[in-house]
Parts: sequence; structure tokens; C-alpha cells
Amino acid sequence: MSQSVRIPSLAPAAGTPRRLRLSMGREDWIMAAGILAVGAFLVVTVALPLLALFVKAFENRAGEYVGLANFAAYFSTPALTQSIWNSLLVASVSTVITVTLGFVFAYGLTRTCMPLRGVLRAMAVTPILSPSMLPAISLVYLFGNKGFAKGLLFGNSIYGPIGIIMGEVYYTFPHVLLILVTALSMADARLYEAADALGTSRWRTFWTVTLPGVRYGLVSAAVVAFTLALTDFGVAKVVGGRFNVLATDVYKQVIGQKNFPMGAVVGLVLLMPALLSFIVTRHVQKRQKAQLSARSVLYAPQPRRGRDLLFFVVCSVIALAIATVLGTSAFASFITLWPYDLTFSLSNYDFSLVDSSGWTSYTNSLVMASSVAVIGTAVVFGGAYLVEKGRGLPLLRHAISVLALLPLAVPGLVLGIAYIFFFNHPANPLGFLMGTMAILVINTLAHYYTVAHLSASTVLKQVDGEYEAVSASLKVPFWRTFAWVTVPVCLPTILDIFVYLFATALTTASSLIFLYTPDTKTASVAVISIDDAGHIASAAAMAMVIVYTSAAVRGVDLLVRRYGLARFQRWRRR
Amino acid sequence: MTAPSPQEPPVYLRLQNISKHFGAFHALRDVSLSIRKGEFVCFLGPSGCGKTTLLRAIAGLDPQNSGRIEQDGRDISRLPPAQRDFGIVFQSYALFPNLTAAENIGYGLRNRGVPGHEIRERVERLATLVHLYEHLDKYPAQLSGGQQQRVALARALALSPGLLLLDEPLSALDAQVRQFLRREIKEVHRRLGITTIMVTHDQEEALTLSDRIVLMNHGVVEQVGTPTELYRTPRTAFAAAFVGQSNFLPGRLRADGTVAVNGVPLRPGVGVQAGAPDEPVQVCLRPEQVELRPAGAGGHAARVTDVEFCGSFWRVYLSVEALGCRRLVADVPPALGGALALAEGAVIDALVPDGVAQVFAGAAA
Repeated sequence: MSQSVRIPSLAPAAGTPRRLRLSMGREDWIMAAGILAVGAFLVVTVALPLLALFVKAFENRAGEYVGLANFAAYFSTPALTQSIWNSLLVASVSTVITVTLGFVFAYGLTRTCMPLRGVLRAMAVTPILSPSMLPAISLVYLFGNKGFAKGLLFGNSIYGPIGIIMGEVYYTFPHVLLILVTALSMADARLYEAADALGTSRWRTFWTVTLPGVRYGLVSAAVVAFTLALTDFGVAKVVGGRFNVLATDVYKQVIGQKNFPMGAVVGLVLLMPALLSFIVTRHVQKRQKAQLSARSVLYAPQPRRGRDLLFFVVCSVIALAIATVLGTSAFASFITLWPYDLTFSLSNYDFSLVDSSGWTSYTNSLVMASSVAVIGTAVVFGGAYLVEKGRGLPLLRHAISVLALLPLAVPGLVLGIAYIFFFNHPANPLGFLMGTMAILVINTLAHYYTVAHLSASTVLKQVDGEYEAVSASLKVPFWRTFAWVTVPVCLPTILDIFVYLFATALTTASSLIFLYTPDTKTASVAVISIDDAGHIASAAAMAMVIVYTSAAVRGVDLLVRRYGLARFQRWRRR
Repeated sequence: MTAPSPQEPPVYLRLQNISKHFGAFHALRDVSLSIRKGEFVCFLGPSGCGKTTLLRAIAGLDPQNSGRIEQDGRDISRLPPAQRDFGIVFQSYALFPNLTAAENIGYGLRNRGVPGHEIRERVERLATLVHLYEHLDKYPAQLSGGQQQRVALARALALSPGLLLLDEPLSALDAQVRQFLRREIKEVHRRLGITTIMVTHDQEEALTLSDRIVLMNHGVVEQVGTPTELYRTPRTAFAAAFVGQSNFLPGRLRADGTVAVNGVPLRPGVGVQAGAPDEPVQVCLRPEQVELRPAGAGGHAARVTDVEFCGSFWRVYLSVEALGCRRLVADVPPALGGALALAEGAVIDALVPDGVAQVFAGAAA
């Protein structure tokens, strides 16, 4: 808006206000207060911690400004810079593998008539239920020194790049698969009919129609896989061995050596590729719009025996591999002593034997995840509502929508150390939060803010923009219409956000590793510490407890959608 | 402003020098307007003329940058929408999809804490008014477009506002429903006598519904007048072109007050602006003002280039050499059309009677 530009033709009479402002009613004050509160929340939980991290990288241990000295020290230490290459190597290789497998699987699900597609799909997305430590633990069981499939590695060790790559492929597979399934199912059948009518061979149609149609999906999938693999901490922590990557370096610098400035430098290095891929994704998403027009005809595959069978075999192998990884941890958690005594036992679930927190870490996780889900859904949806439908404070509302995207670009580990620097700063009045459950909740919410915010603002954009105007004309304050209309209309998405926040809060460990205390330790953190202490079977059991819980949550979610929600959504039927 | 005469109702809404710009784009320039109590006024104009912007300024939804709005003697220029007194119907209707028709209509009443049975009573009365009684318990998705529009209308009337604002309320409907609802809106206005402003780009809608039309173009008011005034005495070429059909012929003013069209003198009707002789002007003729006669009966020789049958009249396209006009449109009643044996290529006489044409300054665009 160029309200400062003087426009001569308007020629306002002397004394006429340049811009007329409406007087603020009670409603407007409440709305402004809400917008300010959401803005302040994001500044305190995202912007300021990142700023503190940035500042820390230019200070020495005593807190004095040292310019680029930390960076100089970092880049002259081959042991540290080697991690950059190691990280890039494992992230690139696992990206190539995951995207290839994911594409084949997604193609099988969307473009063939192979049998059991529902079952295969369900098996393929199970990794989303588990913390990233779980595949690593399973790999140790399968390919470790006592692993029964050790021979398949031809003498190579699972501890190192091979293990990390395999673990990351498992961990990132469902994310890649979901993106590619979406991309592949948005196909316009008319293009295929045209290719068919022109006598184009199937192979050529694949290269000239199918691949170009999903190129943005492929780029998105690759970027997501790369970022996840690069910034993930759990796999490398368990199975990395002496193979250092950036994520484990941050941990070692901060927790092991208490070298905070160097931790900040590594954190910034880790932030760079993540920021870059964030920018690429944003760019791609802008161009991806309008792939399908209203006139498109959705493509429906026709059965073809040979192709369907081929894809069924390949996809089954992938799905079974995924099931094997999950099954191994499940199995190992229920036996007495791998591989010597395979009798059933629940002793691995007696966590008090291996960890001072015992089962408390699990209840902590439940408290933490429910708080994130309840508070987060309210804050995120309310915030998105104020940004999308609010009146006044246009600049601040825009700033919030930009700030809400930032967490997506920040790896959990980086946000975790950023919190240490910010909240531990002696001058911070919020320092009392350190060491409490609240800081874990705030951190997790901030970390996953973006995805939740995007779903909320997407659905709110689809809601008629004049509801607020109508209710103002009917003298109904906006919060009533928010409660009576907007929330009921958006209920399915609100449930999505709730489940997303709960499930991710349950499985995440990367940022919490810096913020927990013995009293607030969560189950995911316990997996790491129990594994660190050498109790791998109990670590597997704790990881499985997380899997059971997230599976239960998804199950309840399904039931609620099918039977509970339908009752409130009668109005959708025609 | 003139003082209200005894039989004329008082001014209810007064807009003074309303201006609004979006960046460098001027949506409204210095618009001033008075609307009387109980009047039905249409804001008419092409898209982008500022009519919706003006309506939203009156509602306080997109406040003007400068200017003053007075409603019922009260300065409302700076009031937020919630503190103004209006009911509004949007093009999208903006019905609440999770509430039934009855709940939509009673929405504002429920918030005021009106007892349930009173709400139901009032909702039923409103529903009867807009002929919606049997659909009260349906959700918007189960109603047709026209029924949804009535729910929106009833909801806007529920709090008995002093001013009803309709923003293109009929444009999402198909032609037949539109005509039907047009009469219904008129009927509701007649029964309630509520001051009503309707935004439309459809001249037929404006002509049939309004007491007065506010014709807008490029953010300014071109003309305000009753439908007949606007049709019979348009003040600008734009008004003549936008409301009804018009022929535009280039001409020059002459010292005796007539206009020369291709050298042929023509005595215009009302609205001749005094101008210097020899100044270029546009002569505007309505199709029904062109008189057609058999060849040789007096007039200018005209060749028929096309004939369209329009039911209640024939539309005839003519080429009139004497007037230097290759496309003159004339409407004639069916009986006359038959008598003239109109057909492509036929030659007849066309006469422009004295004292009917409108004249506007400036050369044809």
C-alpha cells in the first residue's frame, strides 16, 4: 500500500484526513490483542531463539564478541568439516534410493490395478508411527554383530554410512510416498487419451506425459527426503558409530563438550541446506498450482496383467522390508535375550531396570503430546483465523504468516540449541521456563507450527470471506461466529491438526534432547538414553511403546471420523 | 441540498465527497449522493466502476479514504460495521452452511438472547414473507440457488435494519429465477418500505426495480435519476450507451441550434448543450425513435442490411447514405414490420423526427 505517496489528482481539501480510520470497537480491540498475542508467541518461540543462536556463533565461551573466529576454528578442524561431506553423502544417497523406491510404490498404487493396494499402502506408511531411532535399532538387530542377516553386508559394518542410509530410507519413505501419490493421482486422463489416439508407445507416453506431469512432485519429494535425512538425529545417534554427521556433531559439541559457540556454528551450518531446500520447495509449490483444471478428467488405470503382477511383486518386497524392520523391533522387545534366548518375556518393558525415569518418561510423553495437541490446535487455528479473517493490523498479520513458515526450515536440533541459548540467557525473564515441561511443549509446538498453520490457513481460505461481514451486520461479535460457524465448518481439518501435533510430539526427540531434565524426560528421549546405556532391547521396547501409542491415536482418529464426526457434519450432505 | 418538500420523505442516507483509492487506483472520486427514506436505489455500472466499493464503504466493510457518510442524521463515517445499522446480502449469499435456513435467519436474534419461541415466531414470519416457509429446516446445501438467496434476504431483514444493502444478489442465478426473484425483492421492499440499495451491472434489473438509479463509471457518478429520466434524458454519452440501446451519429452544432449530421440539419430534443457553432458533437438516437416508412413516403433512403425478430418488435439494421451512417438500428412494431416487407436488401425510407435526439459534446469515441 502506498498511502504515503501523494497523489495530486485527489487534491484533498485542507484539513481532510489522508486516511480515515474507523474508531475501534470492543471487538476490534479483542481482535488486535489476539493478533498481537500470536505475533508475540512466534517472535518469542521462533525468531528470538534463532537470533540468539546466530549471535552465539560470533561469541566465545565467555560471551565476548569474537567475529568469525568460531567459524575459522570450525573450518580448520578437519574432524568437523568432514561431517559436512559425510552428511551430504548419506543424505544424497538415501534421497536417491527413497525417491526411486517411493516413485515405484506410488506408481503401483495410483497407476496400476495391482491387488491389495490398500494393505500395501497401509504397510508402507507405518514408519510414520515410529521415532527415527526405531529403524536404527532394528538394523542393529538384523545386521549388527549378532544379527542373523549380517552376511548380507559382505563383511561391511552396519555402524556407519550403510546403517545411516538404510535407516534414513525407512524413516523418510512414507513422507516421500505421500507426496508422490498425490502428484501421481493428479493426472489428466485426456492427455493419455490424446497420446493413445496418436499411437504413442507406452514407454514414450511415460517419458513425455507421466514424468513431466509429476516433476514438481519429484522435486518436492527429493527435497523433503534430503532435508529429513540431513537433519535427522535419531538414526545416526544409534547406528552412526564413528561416522560423524552434522546432526551428531551438534549433540557432541553441546552435550558432550559443552562448547556452546561451536555448537551454534555447527547448527548454522546445518541450517543452511535446510533453508535452501525450504526456498526450493516454496518455489516449486508456487509453480505447481493449477496442474489440474476444473475440466480435467481424472485418470483411472485399466487392468493389465503383466504390469500389475510386476508392480505387485516389487511393492510387496518393499512393504515386507518395511514390515520386517518394524517387526524386528517388536519381536526383539518381547524376547528374553537376542539371539540366544528367544523365549517370550516382558522384562524389556520394565524400564525401571534400565532407566531411572522408568515408565515416567512415557507418561511425560503423553502429557507433553496432549498439551502440544490441545494448546497447539487452539493457538495455530486461532492464529491462522486472525491472519486470514482479521481486520486491521495488515502488516503484522502478514508478518505472522511469514514467521509461521520459518519453523519448517529449521531442523529440530537447531531449534533445540537455539532454545538453550535464548532461554538460558541470564537476562531473559522467561528463563524460569527452562527445565520445565512447558519448555518442551513450547519447543515442540514451535517446531511443528508450519505444517499445522498451513493446513489451517488453507481450509480457512476456502471458507466464505463474508461471514465476518454478515455477522457484523447482524451485530454478532466475530468470536461467536468463529465458534458457531468457522470451527464447526473446519472441524475435520482441526482434527487433522490435532492428530498431527499429537503424533509428531510423541515421536520427536531431536530438539528435546537439549531441553529435557530427568523429571521431564520423554519416551523418545528415553529411547536414546537407554540405547546409549547399552540396553538395546529396552530401547526397542520403549520405541515400540511409542509406536503402539501413535497407532492407537490414528485408530481412534479413524473411528472418530467415521462415527463421531459424521453426526456433526449432517449439513454437508445434499 | 434542497429542503424536503412536504410530500417527499426526508433524506435518510447522505454521502459527501466520498473518495477511495487502492494504491494508485482511484476506486471512488468525490462521490456525493442523497437517498431518501424508503427509496429503492440501484448503483448501476460496468465492472470496476466503483459501485461495490461504494456499497462496502456505506457498510463500513472497506471504509472510504475521505468523505462523510450520514445515516438517519447520524455521522457514521468512522463507525465500525457492527455499530452501523444495515442488513446485507452478498453475491455469494455467505450463508452459514452448518446452520439450517431457520438458524441462518435467526442468527442475529439468537445472539441477542431473544427467547427461543420469539425467534421461531419472527423467523417464520420472515420466511413467509420470502416464501420459504416449507424449507426452514433444510441446510443451505439442500436448497436451490434461488432459495438460498431468499434465506440470505430474510436473514438480512431479521433485525429490522434501517438500510438494506444488496450486492449483486441475483447475478449467480439463471435467467428465469432471476426475473422471479426480482419481483419478489420489489414486493418485499413495497411491504416493508425499507430504504434499499442494490448494486448491479444489469441495466434491466436497475430499470425495473429502482425508484432512482445511480449510474457510475470510473469511480464517479455519471447521472442520478429515475429509470425514465435516465432512459429518456441521459446526460452523457456513457449514460446513453449503458442504459438501453443507442445509435451514435457524429455531427456538428450550428448557429441556429440544430445539429448537422453529414450536412443534414436535425433539431434535437431536450438536453442540447449550448456550444460554439461548428463544435463536434454526438447525436444519440434510440432505436424506437427512428421512424421507418415505405420508400418514397418521405425521409432518407435506407437499405436494410439485416433484420432480427425479437418477439414483440423487429430490430432492423440499416445503412443510410444521406446521414453517412452504415449501421443505424431501428425497432419497429411487428405490424409495421410486416407492412414494410422488411428483408435484407430492401430499400425503404428512414426518418429522424425533430425534437427527439439527444446531443452530447465531443467527437465520437
